[in-house]
Amino acid sequence: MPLLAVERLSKRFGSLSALTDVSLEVEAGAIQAIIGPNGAGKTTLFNLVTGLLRPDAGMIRLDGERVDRFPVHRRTERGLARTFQNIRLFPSLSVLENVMLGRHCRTRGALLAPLVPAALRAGGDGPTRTRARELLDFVGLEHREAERAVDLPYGEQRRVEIARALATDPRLLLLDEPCAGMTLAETSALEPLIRRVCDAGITILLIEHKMSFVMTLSRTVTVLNFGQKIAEGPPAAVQADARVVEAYLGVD
Amino acid sequence: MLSDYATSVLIFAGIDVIMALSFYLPASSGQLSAGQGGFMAIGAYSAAYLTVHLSVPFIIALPAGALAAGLVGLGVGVPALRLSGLSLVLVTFGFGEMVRVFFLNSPAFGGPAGFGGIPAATTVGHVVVLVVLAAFFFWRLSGSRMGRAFSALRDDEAAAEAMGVHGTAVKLLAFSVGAGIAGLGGALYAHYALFIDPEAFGVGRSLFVMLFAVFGGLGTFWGAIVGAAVLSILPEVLRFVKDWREIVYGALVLIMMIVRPQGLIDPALFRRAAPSPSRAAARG
Repeated sequence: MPLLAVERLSKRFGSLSALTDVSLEVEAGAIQAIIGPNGAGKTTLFNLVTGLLRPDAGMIRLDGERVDRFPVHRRTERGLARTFQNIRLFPSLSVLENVMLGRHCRTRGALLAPLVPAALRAGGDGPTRTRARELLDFVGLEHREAERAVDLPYGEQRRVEIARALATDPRLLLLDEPCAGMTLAETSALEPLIRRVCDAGITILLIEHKMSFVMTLSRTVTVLNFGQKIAEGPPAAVQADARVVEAYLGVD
Repeated sequence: MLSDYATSVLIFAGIDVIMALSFYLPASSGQLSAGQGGFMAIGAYSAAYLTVHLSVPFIIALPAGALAAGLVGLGVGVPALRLSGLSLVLVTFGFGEMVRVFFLNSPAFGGPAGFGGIPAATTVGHVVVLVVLAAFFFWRLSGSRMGRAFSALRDDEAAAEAMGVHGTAVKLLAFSVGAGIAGLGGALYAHYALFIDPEAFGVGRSLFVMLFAVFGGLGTFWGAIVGAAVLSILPEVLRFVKDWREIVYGALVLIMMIVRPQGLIDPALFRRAAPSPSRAAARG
């Protein structure tokens, strides 16, 4: 059974068909990519999978369980996590607090818990802090924990976002254009990080424009154009596909 | 011992601080309420009803007033929290007016003539203990799991939900506990003023509560505390300008909001006072 199964998903915005009958499967342990020109419906697909948008038709299954009716936070509880194309860290929280926030759905702690001395409380914030530090260490930003997340350079903010997503203990991590806005050096540093996330047992589905990045990382590539799936397969085969070339370069 | 005058200034300032904190709590999760006066009324009337008509001891009527306001907050919050921003401000404003008119038309609560004969019970001690307890709670909250969830929801609700925060439940919690704190303020007020009428908890009250918190700064709970204390005591300091008092008060608020639009106290102030190690190193 695939970890993620998207079946005949459709979404319209008014008269515009953002996504039409798109099906997609992601096997556990894979690094899989979605590519396509601007406006192809890639981010719409991510928003449907994570619940920011409701589909007009179709089904989404995570490990066999239908999640398309679930609210956003419950999908996160079930093991879906994501980063955003335009980084969305919380400006009023520090780097460490941003990552700790990701532990929210894996921890308990009522509103009035802060009134009880830590010694009398089971758990508390200690384990959350420890785990968040481990994850910052994992993405190589342990020395930045006290800074405001939005003060960091773009490439580092992306890493904080990845650490924050990992803090939710995901089974499937969705990366929306992880290289967007990053320098060449930052991009090449991201590749091994994504591999290490995959090695840690987390399946990855990513959207990316940078072809070289996609081609070296992923085993399977899905190509969207005008909201429809036009090709799927190993990177080399997809790159040679006439329809893909046409979608990217246009035809005279 | 404190003079009667000093006692009354202190108690009303303390109640204003509690009210400002009742506004700050939902505001810290991104919800602006213009109905805190309504929740204050519910706390004041229900606690007073208990002590006057049912002879319930003040020490029980006080949390009961807070609970009543909190429960109403829960009921109002369920439909109201589908809205945000200006819509929520208007809906909570409408709620505050409903509460006022409800008490105006309820003979059991004295109607327009007001509700008198409330036993004197609130002391400086009560107010100080509750303000200190509230300050301690808010101080600890800012570094806790729920405190982070509030900040995240205010910063970016969709991103917070995508990180696993149950937005509706957490916002409802902040809103109803904020209502409960306002109810607590109302119960304290009733047992010091000894007479309450619906007009004491109208739009004006709600707006002043909002002003206290915004004037002090919404970036930290210290803003609500300092803003309420300053603006509550300011009219006493301005007694010497006599009839011009309200104009001077208004002008001072206006000047302050122009000079420091982020409020008197903001988190940057704390960062300057206690720089993080990496920054100190970078600077030094």
